[in-house]
Amino acid sequence: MLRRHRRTLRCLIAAGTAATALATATACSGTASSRGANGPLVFGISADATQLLPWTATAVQSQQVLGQVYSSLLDLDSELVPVDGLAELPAVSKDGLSYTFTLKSGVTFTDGSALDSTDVKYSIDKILSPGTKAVARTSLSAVQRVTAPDARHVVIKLRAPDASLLTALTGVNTAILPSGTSLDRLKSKPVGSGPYAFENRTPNQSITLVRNADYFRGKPGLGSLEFRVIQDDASMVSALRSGTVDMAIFDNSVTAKSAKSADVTVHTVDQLDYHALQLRADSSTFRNKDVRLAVQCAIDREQVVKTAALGQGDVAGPITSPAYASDPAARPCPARDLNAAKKHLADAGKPKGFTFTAIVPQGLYSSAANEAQNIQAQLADAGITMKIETLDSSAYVDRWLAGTFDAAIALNGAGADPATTYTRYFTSGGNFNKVAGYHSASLDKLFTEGIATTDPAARKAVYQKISRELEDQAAWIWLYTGRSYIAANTRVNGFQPIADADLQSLWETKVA
Amino acid sequence: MKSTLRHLTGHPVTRRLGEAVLTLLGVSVLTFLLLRVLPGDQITASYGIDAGDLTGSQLAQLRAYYGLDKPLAEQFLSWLGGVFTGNLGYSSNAGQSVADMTAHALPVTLELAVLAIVLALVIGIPGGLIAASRPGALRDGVAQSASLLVLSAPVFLTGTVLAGVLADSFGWNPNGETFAPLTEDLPLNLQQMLLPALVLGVSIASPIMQTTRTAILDIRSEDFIRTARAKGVPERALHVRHVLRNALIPIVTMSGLQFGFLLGGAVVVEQIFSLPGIGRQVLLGMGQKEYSVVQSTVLVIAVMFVLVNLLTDLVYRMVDPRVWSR
Repeated sequence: MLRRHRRTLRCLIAAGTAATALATATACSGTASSRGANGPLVFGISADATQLLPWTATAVQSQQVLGQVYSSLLDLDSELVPVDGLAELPAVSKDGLSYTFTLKSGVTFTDGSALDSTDVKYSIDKILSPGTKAVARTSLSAVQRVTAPDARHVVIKLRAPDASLLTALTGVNTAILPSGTSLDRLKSKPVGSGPYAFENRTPNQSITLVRNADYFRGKPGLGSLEFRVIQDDASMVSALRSGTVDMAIFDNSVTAKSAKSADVTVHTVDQLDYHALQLRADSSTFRNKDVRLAVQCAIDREQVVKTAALGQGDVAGPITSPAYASDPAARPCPARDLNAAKKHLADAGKPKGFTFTAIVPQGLYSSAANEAQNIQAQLADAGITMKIETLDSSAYVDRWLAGTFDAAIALNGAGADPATTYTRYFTSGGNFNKVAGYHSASLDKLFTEGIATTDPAARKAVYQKISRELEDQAAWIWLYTGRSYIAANTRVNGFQPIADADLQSLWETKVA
Repeated sequence: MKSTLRHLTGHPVTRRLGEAVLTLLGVSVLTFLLLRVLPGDQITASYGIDAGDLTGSQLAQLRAYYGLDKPLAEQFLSWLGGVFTGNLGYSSNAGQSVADMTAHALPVTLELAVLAIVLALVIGIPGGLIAASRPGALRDGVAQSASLLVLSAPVFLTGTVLAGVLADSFGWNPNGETFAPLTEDLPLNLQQMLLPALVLGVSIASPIMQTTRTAILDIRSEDFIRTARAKGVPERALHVRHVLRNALIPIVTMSGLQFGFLLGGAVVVEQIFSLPGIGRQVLLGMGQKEYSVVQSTVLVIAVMFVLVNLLTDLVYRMVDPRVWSR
């Protein structure tokens, strides 16, 4: 039979050989692109930067890209303290209601137009306008009006003192945009005053930036910078190890470890974002404080870190901002105490335990399912049954925002200032109080005091009191802060990894 | 007049076209409804938890912008009307019309599908012939075991391992580069297609090989083969004209089905190898809850599938003239 079909076989085998030969020939010809010392530096990102208007950019990838294109009035240093940006640190009036900013001279946008106080006033006014749907509008809610007395000076008047204002004026969400260019145009072709200028974008593939030779801080280190979309983690690791991608950020220690090689170094940096088991204190399940405290006492946070984050994290309290960090040892049951958990259950009238459901996100971050399973096993020892309801990211966000859950495994963002992190959750009028499920008159008072207090030591004391109440009430169960991993090819130099994997030093980075 | 109409509606081609239109309408309705049943929408997908900071009027503005404030029937008819006028919708995330996105993604998927199916046929048909040449012999056992091994290895695993090993051992990873379209950079394009086509081709070769083997063995035991042999038809002519030709029908069916699935976008392979094909377009549209992207792309995929099925029918008729009379 085989012999009789020889001709057919010959044809097929010839075709196969030809295809293989062609493929091998092209493979051996080497990849077409080449990169010199001037760049491009290829930065791998796991999703496309789809939001190109900085005021409404919420995705990490969009913020990473736009952070290289735009500048803000102020920046954060490596200790997350506000420092000069487009303006010097402001002169503040004695009543704390007036901030006068002096802009640096000679700053221009990448389209060549000068950046002056008109652009600053325009930008802040637009951020405050509800129609813009700017993310930072809430953080700037104390702003009463902005004036531009001359080209280099901007005065921001507040309704009430706001100690978090300077931090709120850092980052891409409060970037300064050119007043003469329409927002619709900027949504597709950003024009900023950052170290790199937007060159082009191929949706879902790459964004290319080129050096802004007139950048106000100095000459950026790279001729060009490409953000390349590679969604699959394993593919990103392959791209790093083969040298087709120079830098990437991972949140999973195992993936980061697999990227390490003779040519790839991995830097570990702390995150401010915190992992928590959110309990909705206004749900029927968790209305009783003793029920919440029973959950608090039944969980060994170190064990959660070891199992879910493979030891790559630190047990943390509510406030993770370095200057105001909570002391995790100051909470009720800092170590797991099953007897205390059982006593709280008995006090709550549930000596045999109880059952609740926790929503768990899938696809938002890598450790969520492991955290849920570990907590489920630990709570079972105290007679508490935690059912796990896994939801895809969009469904999870939907339920979370609607506050239609008893408990949620969550990784929540935290900033350099605790006011911006928690006011929206735990004040009675906060936009996310429905999600948090807990507020009190004393917390409302403390948050108001925290915003108004400008003296750093006095302010820290206020936030310690806030932290204490949140922990004593077991409003949520704060677990730990994790790590980020910045992988970089050894030919990349000058990059300074800082907390939260911020890319603020990328502009000085060069490639050998 | 009536008899002409009856003749037209009863004609196989008209009937097949009617079925195709109904299939496409069914797919469209089902996709539309399934998307609306899923929790979340484009607002929460875009803003994430920051959607909680939006005021009621801001949310209403956004719902109106995305057309989510209209009744479901109106949303569907509006989209369908757009499709008939060539407007497949707009992706605010990509900043492109869905027609433009599809025009870029479809050639990538087509190229991958053609390369993969060619590889699958080149491997599968000879493999099947070798296995069928001596059923139960060593060559049959080896071919069947290899086929089973390939079937058991998921493409995400073989793809990831292959790409990882080549990147590690030889520093060769063309898929780490920005995708090069066929018309712009042929050498890089072929390099970027090599591994995904190989992974897909080998995985599809397995069912084609099995089908070829079974079909050949079935036909060989048919009465008409014995009759032909008894009539003195030479062995070569017997096997080429009678055995292989008759065995082609199930092989064409299997290949057509596999090709249709490939045109639907090999989502996992496109994702692993960062190929901007149509499967990845649907996946991204789903993740970002861009309804028009998903609906229109799924419709395009369904059209492709229907066309391939019609083409397969046509090939049947070429291979086996008896089908014309059915």
